[in-house]
Amino acid sequence: MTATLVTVRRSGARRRRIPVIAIVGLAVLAAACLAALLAPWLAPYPPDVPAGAGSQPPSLEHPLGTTTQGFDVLSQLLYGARTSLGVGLAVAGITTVMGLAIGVIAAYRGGWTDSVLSLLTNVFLVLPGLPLIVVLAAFLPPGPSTIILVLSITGWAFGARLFRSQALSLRTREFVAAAETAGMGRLRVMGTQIVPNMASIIAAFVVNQVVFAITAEASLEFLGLGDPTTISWGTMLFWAQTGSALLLGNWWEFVFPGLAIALTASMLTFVNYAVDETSSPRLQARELVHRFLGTGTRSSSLITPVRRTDASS
Amino acid sequence: MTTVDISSPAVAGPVVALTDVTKRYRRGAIAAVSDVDLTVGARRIVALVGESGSGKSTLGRMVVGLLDPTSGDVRVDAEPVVPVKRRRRARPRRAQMVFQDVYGSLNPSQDIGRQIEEAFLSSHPGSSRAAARARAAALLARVGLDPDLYAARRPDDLSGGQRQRVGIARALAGDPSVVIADEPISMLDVSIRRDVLDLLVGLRDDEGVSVLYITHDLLSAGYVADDIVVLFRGMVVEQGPAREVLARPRHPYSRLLAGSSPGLGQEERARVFLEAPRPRTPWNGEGCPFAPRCPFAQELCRTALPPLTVTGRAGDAATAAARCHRLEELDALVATREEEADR
Amino acid sequence: MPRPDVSPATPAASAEVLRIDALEVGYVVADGVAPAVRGVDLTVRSGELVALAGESGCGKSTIAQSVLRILRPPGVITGGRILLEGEDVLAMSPARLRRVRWARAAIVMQNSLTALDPVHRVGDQIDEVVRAHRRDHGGGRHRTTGELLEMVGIDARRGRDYPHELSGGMRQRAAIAMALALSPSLIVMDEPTTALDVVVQREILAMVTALQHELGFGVLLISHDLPLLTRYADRIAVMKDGLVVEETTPAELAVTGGVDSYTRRLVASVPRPGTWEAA
Repeated sequence: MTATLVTVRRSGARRRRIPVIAIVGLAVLAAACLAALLAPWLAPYPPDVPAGAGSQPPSLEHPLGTTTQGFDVLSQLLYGARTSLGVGLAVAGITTVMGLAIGVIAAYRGGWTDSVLSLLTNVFLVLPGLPLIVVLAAFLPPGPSTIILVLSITGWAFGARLFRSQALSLRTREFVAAAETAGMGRLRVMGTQIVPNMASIIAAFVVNQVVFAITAEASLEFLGLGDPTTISWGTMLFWAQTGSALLLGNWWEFVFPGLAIALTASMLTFVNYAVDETSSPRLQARELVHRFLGTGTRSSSLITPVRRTDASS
Repeated sequence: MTTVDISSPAVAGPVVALTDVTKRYRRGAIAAVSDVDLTVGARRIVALVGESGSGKSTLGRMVVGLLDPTSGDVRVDAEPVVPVKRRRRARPRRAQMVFQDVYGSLNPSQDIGRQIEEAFLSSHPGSSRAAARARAAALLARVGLDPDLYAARRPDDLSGGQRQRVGIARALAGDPSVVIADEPISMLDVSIRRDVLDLLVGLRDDEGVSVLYITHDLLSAGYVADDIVVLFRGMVVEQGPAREVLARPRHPYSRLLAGSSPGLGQEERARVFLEAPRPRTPWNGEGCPFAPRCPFAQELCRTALPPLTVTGRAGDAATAAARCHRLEELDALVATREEEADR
Repeated sequence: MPRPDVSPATPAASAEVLRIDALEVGYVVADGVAPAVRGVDLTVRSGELVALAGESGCGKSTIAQSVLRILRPPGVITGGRILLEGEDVLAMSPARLRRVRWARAAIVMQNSLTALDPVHRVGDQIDEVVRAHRRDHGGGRHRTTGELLEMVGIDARRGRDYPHELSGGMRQRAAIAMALALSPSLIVMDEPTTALDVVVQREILAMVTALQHELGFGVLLISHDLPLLTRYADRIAVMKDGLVVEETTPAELAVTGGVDSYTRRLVASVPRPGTWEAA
């Protein structure tokens, strides 16, 4: 994933600059992940033991306030990040790997293999996602593992189809034929010729999946389909709901977990946007010209602009 | 350490042998290649010349196994060619290819040294990575690219000519008996074409590898090839030693091709054919494929496919032959027509 | 039998159709403008075929696309004048430029498959061009699509075909027919035959020169194929690194083999019958 985002310096003047928002997004995300990992040391109080009086607004003692039952919101947020981010990354990882495996194999092998795998993919695509998630979550033992399972089952097919079509177009490229002519094994061809050239689309997919998984997980837990005894941003919202935080005016109980989810999603979207930007030379070209001509010039890309660099402009 | 063996070839007889090869598409409706016989001898360069749609690339791809023939026999080193689709690690592939598309035939996300290593490992299973690296460096040097400077580069950083050299190095990594060069210079700048062609000639002279050079350009074919085979609409219409085919092409299409190639000095001799009007209706599949465009076509030409008639000495690697009903009288016919025109 | 592709040029009172003066064109990069054309002078008269020869990166395609200002971003024209029948293209308003495009000067690109719309019939696309012109300029007799197709050697009935149903050579002829639709005085051809076979290349260029003698338009031909250019061009300008290093005629070239060292290198790089001994 880093390959597409790092500044690439090549011979000549071709250098890709990382857009600022990508740096911002990555930095915030990195900070969040770090905070989650270091929760046991960063959290001022244990998250599951009442740490003070209930329904306390943010104060010096409790920077993000306490819940109706007296749990420290900040501590819960930090520990909850582990579950939320963990589920998000796990689902993204599983669906990407599954989608890649099935999509690329189907595209490369073709024939019967492709027919069977595509049928499987289409079946899972057609299954109504949300109802299935709800039903599965309702019947399986509650907890983050179930949520990971459920989201992965319903989420891999989209990736499989995406990766299959990308792999199909790569499969017909001459360098793949060249590798096959040299006698390269099938698995190796898929691993060294096809998948590495899908890097940016894989990166974009992973990012999208994390966003999807985090918000889906929060939704499930908010609906009570998760394990209420675990701590995550979603369960925080669940408890805020059942504890009537809104009625009581305890805005800090739902605003902070909500913000955490929204912020994570936004930062991921920034990163995604940056991936798109750096992989579209045409957008870059237009941008360069506009910057060169200065603001205020109405230029159409259908007419080459004239900007004289000599004195008689 | 691998050494390049340039002693006499392990297999006596032709390195490439195509017998009666046909390739049809669309349930037999379209014949890309019809009943072609083609041989490439050891240490020979054979040029396969034809326009687009003549079937030359199709033939090339059948030799390396990227395409299966509909019927007929394709052999390399006397062994039937295993299609790439069904390749086996234990069977090294003795026919390798240099591709036309210099910009698409190298993996954009891998260092070129690595790509040559991979090609070596694919055909020498069980070799160590170190051996592969050494061989890759040697091959890069062989094609004129300093391995210290180029092995770690990406294809993106190379010019078209450099990429094609890498393509040749990669083809050599498999220790082939024959290299199929499919229009290797058509996408390159003019001033570097000759260098790449010289490299191909070097394959024959230094490595003892045969080359099947596929092109639409008669001039470059004349520059590298020992023998020329002219293809038209999927059929061999003329073949013979390169010098002869270029100096005195016999078949009407060969004459037309030679006349259209600037610098060969064949325009006058081919004038009749150059000025013949282009047919408005496509060939109906019967008789001689060139008949619709031939100013000397007769009824026989339109109904019966002419056989490939031997015109030269037997025993040459490519026995001179041409496919025309009126081959013997063609020169006289052309002369008469010229006289009429000048009057 | 007359040979339309071998006739002497008629200089007489040939008007200047295109005049390029000190043209400078560049590509915007992160820290400035990378020059692609560094001061080029060139003229094309009516009935003349002027060739711009050189290898990739020399700037010839940049010039071709600049004439009609269709150079895509990040291209920017940074200096000089391009006079089309006396009028500076670089000073035209967008509206004027749109009217001039196709009516006064047209372009034929290398890959006709991308120039022709794949989802419309060839004849319809030519009709479209003619109709659009009538809207802008009104009145005047224009050739019908059928006539245009016949002029370039395509059976008029094939106007009903889609681009992918035509061979590469026929598509290129159709593109030329489209360029001729409004009877422009200049046609720019950017490597029009590079992707085609020798026989077809010859036929198309012979057709173009024949049409030139009949209709009188000028042609700016971009190519890297020197042998082809010596056969069909009236003048050849050799380009390298954004500059014209030599301007010559086929006759001169045959005698001198080129004055500039780069020209000589280009000429020498063509395999010739005499050098076959090496094979």
